[in-house]
Amino acid sequence: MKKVFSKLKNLIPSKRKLIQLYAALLFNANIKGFFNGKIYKGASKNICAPGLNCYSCPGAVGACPLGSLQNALGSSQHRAPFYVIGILLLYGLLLGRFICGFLCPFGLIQELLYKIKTPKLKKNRVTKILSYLKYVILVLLVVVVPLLYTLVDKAVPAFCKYICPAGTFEGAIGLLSNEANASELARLGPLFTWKFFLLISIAVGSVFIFRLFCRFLCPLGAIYGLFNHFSVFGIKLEKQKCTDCGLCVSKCKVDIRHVNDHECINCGECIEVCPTNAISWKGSKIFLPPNEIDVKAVSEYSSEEEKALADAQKQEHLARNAKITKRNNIIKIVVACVMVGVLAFALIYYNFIDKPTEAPLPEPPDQPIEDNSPPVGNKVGNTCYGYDMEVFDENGKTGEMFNPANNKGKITIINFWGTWCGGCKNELPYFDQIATEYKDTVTVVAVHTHLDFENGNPPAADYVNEHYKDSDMIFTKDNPIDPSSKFSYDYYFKLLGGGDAYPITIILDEDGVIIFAKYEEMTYNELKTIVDEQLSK
Amino acid sequence: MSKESLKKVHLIYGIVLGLLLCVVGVLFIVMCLDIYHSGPSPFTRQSVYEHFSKISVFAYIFIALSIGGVVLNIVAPLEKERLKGAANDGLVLNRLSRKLKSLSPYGSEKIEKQRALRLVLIIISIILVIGASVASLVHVLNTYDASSADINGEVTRAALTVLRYFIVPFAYLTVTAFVCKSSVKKELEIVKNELKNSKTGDTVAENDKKAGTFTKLSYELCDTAKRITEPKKWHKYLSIGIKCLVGCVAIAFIIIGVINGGMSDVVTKAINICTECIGMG
Repeated sequence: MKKVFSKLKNLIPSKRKLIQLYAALLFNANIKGFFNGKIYKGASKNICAPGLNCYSCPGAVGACPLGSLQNALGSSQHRAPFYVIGILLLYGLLLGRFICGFLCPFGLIQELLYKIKTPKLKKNRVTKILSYLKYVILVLLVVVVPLLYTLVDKAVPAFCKYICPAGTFEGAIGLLSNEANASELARLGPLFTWKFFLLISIAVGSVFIFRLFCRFLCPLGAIYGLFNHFSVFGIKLEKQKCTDCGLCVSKCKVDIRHVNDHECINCGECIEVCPTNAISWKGSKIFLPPNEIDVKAVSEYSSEEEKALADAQKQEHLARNAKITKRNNIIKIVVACVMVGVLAFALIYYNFIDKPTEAPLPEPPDQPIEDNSPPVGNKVGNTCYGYDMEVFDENGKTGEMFNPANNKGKITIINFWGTWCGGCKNELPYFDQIATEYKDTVTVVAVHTHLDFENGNPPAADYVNEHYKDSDMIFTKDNPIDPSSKFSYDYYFKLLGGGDAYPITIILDEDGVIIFAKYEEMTYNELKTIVDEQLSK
Repeated sequence: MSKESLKKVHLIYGIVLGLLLCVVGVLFIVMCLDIYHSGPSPFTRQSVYEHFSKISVFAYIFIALSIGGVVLNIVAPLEKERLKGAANDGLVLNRLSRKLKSLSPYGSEKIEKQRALRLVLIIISIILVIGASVASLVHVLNTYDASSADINGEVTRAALTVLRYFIVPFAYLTVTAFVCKSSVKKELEIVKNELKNSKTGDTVAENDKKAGTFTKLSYELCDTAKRITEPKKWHKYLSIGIKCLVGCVAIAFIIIGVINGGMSDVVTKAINICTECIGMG
């Protein structure tokens, strides 16, 4: 029986695993998001979580630092990306790659996969060379490509778009697995197929190779690695004690050359194997182990007096040891209580108190286009709701209103967009072209989200001024469902069946009946075909 | 069961599980491709369910075998292998050099030569990387046509240009890595040879004491090993200085970011699903 218990003891997760689980839960405390298929829309998303945790994950309560960085660089033409760079500097300075070892949810997933009992591929020369690949990805996909696109005012987060498996797993699959988002499946195409292939490959690879993604591909790890040497918290090596025996390098599963270099994820496994105790945690003196107090051996004293003095000293040290042990235990209990308290508060707050995602669905407007009231949504064949929206141009709001219900006799194309949305900005020129070519028969309405209308990057009117000054499109602004909330959904967007994602496009015929609805970017040819078909009827 | 046969059981179990995992992974990808090629707007809840339910048997077997692996590990665990120090020339060289330095703190000419060679190679690498970065940046900025109709092609061309500029530094770095490695090996040989013909600093100092010729040099010899590993004070101050500087810059950047609206950009992006970013298209 004892044997069984001792074997079962091995199943108890280590302190590091517990902290990893804790961090993963804390950064994804919006548990209800997994059940209702909605992402969290509260104020804590102002702050980036330190690890790689997609902000489109239904549970995420913070922003992803890497996604934010690419987004900030992608819009750096209008606003310098101080905030995200400052956050990354701060995290790097405080924690370095300790974040990778302890706080990154995607790192935890990979480590759990590595637990599956298969033969493992250990580090070797090839993996050492491959470990530099993440720096290439950092420079090219996170910095260079977004910066090049920003010159044409397009935001292309290349790493997120083409590589990031955390986005595919936590964001796309996390959302799509919920029935509430079934309609979003219509968006999937070649990009998802590629990213799914990459996700499965990385997941399978992580079973054989320890933290495959972190070691070879993660640009966030590459950034934090630069701070490892002088981060405030993490592993430290006392060179005076080190004998260069190499046991630490041998024990380590990642491609380090020495302890705490840019590849070291600060997991702390090397501390146990160091024969001279040269490796320790920075700041570990708070938890000074009692046995480290130097007590002279009694044999070193020759006279009785000295022995008596030694005994007295020993007693004094023992008393001090007991005191330190007590203090350490108190500190540990206090830290554990604070951590549990913070997690409990986060879970209660995000799931029961703060309810930004549960804004009520909008009531249908008083006067629909036709008497037969269609359901809220954009089902083809239904008559579309009308709704007054404020028109704006390059100089700001004009004071005029536009209502699709009053546009009978012409085809109406309603496009929901935002200056923060890369895809929206990509497709807007096609709408502009259609508006110009079919000026007499088609009205194109570009409805900007109420979010960041005035303070966006760039503000909507500035963007219109720069790119669509003489456009034939009508630019309008949507209104929030709940004007008192900063993060409320857009009224008309929601009324026409919008989910959480932009852009969507809805096309109405001359009678105001919905003839087309799409939840993703449109191309010029697609638009032209629909308009031509409708006009030929 | 003997250790050897237990090891074999674990190995065979692991290989079977690994192969099954690969099969499951490939099947997942094949199913996704199959859905993708099945027509326009191919991804629906039904098509996804139909395709993936076909391969669910394999997935269930894999999960069962994975749990079996955990049970096997509890019931008949493998003994942990004894850890051996990494066979790393650099580490051995460090260790032996320290020992040698305690005897001859000023270093021999041959050793200094090898170190100088490595230093020069590394400095050239840094210059090459910085040069390539600047040159590629200048080239891209001069040739990049932001008004091009094919902006995707333009960005790809610019990215490839940057890569092209780094081919030479990359090749040079690869060669440098090999040369440095052989230099370390050579130095290691020199150090080993010198150690063979020397006594440790402490022994020299002890002999000097006995002979009554204990001088300042003797003291230096026996104390060098300790001194060379002691962190220099200016290192400590530099480290604190860098931390303070980076900390101040970080906080200043965050404050500027909050004021200039950078924070609201983050929240706007974070509370709206960027379908492009998560691979939904």
